[in-house]
Amino acid sequence: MVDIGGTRVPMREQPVRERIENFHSVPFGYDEGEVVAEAQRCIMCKHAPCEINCPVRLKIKEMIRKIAERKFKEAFLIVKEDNPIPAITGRVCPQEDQCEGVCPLAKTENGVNIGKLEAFIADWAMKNGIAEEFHIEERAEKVAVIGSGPAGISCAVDLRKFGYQVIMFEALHKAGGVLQYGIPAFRLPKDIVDYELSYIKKIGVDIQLNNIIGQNIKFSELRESFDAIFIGTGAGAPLFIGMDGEKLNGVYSANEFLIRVNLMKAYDFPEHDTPIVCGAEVGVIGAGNVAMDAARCALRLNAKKVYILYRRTKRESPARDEEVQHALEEGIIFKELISPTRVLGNEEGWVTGVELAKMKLGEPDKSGRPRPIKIEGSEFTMKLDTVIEALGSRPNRLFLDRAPELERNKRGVLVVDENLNTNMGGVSAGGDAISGGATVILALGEGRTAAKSSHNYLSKGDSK
Amino acid sequence: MTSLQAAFGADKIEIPLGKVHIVKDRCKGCGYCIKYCPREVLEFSDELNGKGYYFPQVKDEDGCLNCDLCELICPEFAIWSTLEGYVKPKLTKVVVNEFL
Repeated sequence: MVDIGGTRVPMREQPVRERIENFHSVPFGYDEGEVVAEAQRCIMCKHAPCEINCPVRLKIKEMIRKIAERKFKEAFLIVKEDNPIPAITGRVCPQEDQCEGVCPLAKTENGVNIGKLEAFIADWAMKNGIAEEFHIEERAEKVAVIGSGPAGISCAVDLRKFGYQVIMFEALHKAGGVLQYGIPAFRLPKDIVDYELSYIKKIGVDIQLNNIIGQNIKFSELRESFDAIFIGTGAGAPLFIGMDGEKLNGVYSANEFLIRVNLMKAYDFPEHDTPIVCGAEVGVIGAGNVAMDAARCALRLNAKKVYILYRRTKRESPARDEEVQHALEEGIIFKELISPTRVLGNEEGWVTGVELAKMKLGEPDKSGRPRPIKIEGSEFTMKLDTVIEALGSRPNRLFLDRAPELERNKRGVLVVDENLNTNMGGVSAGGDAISGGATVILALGEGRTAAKSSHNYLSKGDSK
Repeated sequence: MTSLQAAFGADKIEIPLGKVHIVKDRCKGCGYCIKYCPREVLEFSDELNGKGYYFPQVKDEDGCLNCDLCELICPEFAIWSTLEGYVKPKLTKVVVNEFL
């Protein structure tokens, strides 16, 4: 009998021993033969649950059909209609919770490897110099986009397609936001980020680097000189447990650690100016994607032993399956059901270890995962040289503190309506700034919605 | 999770729910639908139909996604499915930010 659906075409990856020494991409990506074979696994089911569950409603079934027919260019154009940065989302989306997880094939086998198909199509277009062609009808209105991360990118691209003059402001010296400073190069190679950004420059978005809105330019000035504003300032403020000893040397937030390593290229010190201290035994608190990234970066900075300290178990980890898998392959040790209570240090102010309490799993909480409960009197200590806290993040205060006129809730997150408009006319917001730490693809979806509501706001004037 | 993430569907993973229809007396018992159903919804029945074949029956009522593969593959036009609506899948890992 013919095998319909069949097994997933395996992904070729860098061998573990080689990859823990470098920052190159771990998966090599499919080649043309493999990508067609994988696309042909799709059974073209009637209602395409993959599309229903995609935050940007990508036309996945059409894309797969074109790939199966080897019409890569058409597939690329289909993807680009809904997703401005397919090379990036193909690599960082939590596909197993979205498109791939609801694939009919996912019950008995892995679903169609939609993420890798998307990444292949985008890489193929990049290699062959194929770009989307569209006609822009210029309009005079100016729109400012604050933040050049995923939300800002998708908002800027959509607004530019509507014909507005878009100027994007970025606080750092490199555009890309979390794609640049947060996600390490072995997950998302930086030349891909640069290529996608060069595309948005090419369609006419003006990117102003090293500009902190609220400091270099006042928010009120910005409101005077622009007709509409989009706020995509991200969630750059790390959360801490608030335990004793967090001020010791060698305790990092995952944000700081990843920024030093990714953006400032500390792994190449002294070629680059930023140093980093990473001991032989590293403990990462938390088990999300950021924790996996930090742990795997530490390993690549020659740490001998890297531990993930998590208060639940692997099963409840919010990280992508692929990341957990890669982390385990690389020898990162999961310490489950423990929670740090105190960081221990020596007289010189350096970390020497942590005190941990054992946990047990209780009733499910509102996230649907079992609530971890501390077992009293179970404290023990563990020797560590570096502690990285990866507990999630909050909206960046740099801009929000200098724009007090914007309404926010008691946790400091901007209040927006369902079309992402804030309480001020013409000012919309999206991405992690309003969700406080979610995924790239959700930020893309929010950027698109915000672009539409800005467009509605600005074109209202036409009818008057 | 914020109401906004909810609005964008982070908590709203939905899959179609299908209903399988079988005309048992058309079936010649080839078993393709049972073998190829990606959700393993079907099995052979214990009884014989009018032609003397074991025909398929549904073993997992909630499993059908209305993908229509059985309809496509059946040589006798004896099976198809229709859409009942959209439901939440039973076991989906929901990603949330618990610090908000």
